[in-house]
Amino acid sequence: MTKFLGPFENSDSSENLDFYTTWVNLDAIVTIRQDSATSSTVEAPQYSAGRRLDIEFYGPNPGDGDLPDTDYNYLRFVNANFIYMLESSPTDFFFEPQYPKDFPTRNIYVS
Amino acid sequence: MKTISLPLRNEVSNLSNNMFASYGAKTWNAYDPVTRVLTSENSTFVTDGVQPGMVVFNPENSNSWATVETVDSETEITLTPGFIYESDGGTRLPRFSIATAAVAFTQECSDIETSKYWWSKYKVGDRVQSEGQQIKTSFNKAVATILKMELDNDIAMMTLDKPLQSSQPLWVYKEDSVYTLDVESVGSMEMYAYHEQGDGGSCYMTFYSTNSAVNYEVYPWLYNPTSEEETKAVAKELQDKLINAIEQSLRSPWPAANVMVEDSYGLKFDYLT
Repeated sequence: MTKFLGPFENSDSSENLDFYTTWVNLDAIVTIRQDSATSSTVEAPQYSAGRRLDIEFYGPNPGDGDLPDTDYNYLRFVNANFIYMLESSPTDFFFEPQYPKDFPTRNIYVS
Repeated sequence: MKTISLPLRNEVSNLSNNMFASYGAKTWNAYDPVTRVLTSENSTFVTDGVQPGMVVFNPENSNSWATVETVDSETEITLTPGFIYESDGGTRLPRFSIATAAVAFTQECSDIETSKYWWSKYKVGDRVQSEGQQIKTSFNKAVATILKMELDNDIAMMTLDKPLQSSQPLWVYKEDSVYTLDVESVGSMEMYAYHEQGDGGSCYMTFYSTNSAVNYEVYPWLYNPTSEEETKAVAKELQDKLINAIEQSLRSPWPAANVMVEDSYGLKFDYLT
């Protein structure tokens, strides 16, 4: 069922406005994976479509790169939000990401 | 199928300029809604030949207009009621235009060859919009309707229900001529907003299809916005209207539902493959 998770917001520059806001359709996503617990990218393949979404986490400030290699629970964050959407009312279609307390960043890019 | 639609626009060129005069932000100072006196300290209304009966309108939102009641001095004119001089947020409008009463509501083609095209393509009831006075700002929020199409000595002329300036091309929207996007085929959607001081800016929404075959981009008509705030505001307005249309379409109890994006006149819709 078509449901959109977002906005994920990413600011690519500390000097200019260079701003991405993304919503992801849950439909067709059947698995979510991360190469390692310290990877800054969570992959969400849309198998039926042969397409893969990459959810990339950057430092909290505009223009920041990856945070130092540590397990920030990125996979759990994406998983929890997708489950939240799956369990939602069939009459709701857009969902703002739910961030756990002390989650290290909201600077997230989806490609 | 759940879909959203945006009107397909036809750019209309070869227009006769219908402007008598235009006044930018730096030249007009104030409008008093009680006395209805418009003051423009750097203007020379008498010398320019401004006459009572001329039509005064904001070329970026000509949903309302007024006429010149009296020309009081080189710098002051009194208008009939109805001149909207502030935006919704209370900001003084950046500019206003004056057209003679005879041409304010008409658009005339400038040559016979293009007139034939106009005559064959556009009909009474089609909608018309202008770019605004300066294409670097924004489009005209008003959408006029063609009330009459006629040929005068083989020159096509359309009569509209709103004054639009034609020193820039117009856009004409024909009924049922729309782009339609299957909402359920959207894998993700991305709003990009960019602005750099001195380098202008832009914003647009990209819809990435789940089948990877076709993507769509929707642009508001916004060239070189003057500030980061303006870019952000336009991006927010566009994304809210697109999301609202998608939500309405998905929420419909019918298996097939289509929703037109609100205020989507003025938007540009591109395919990417």
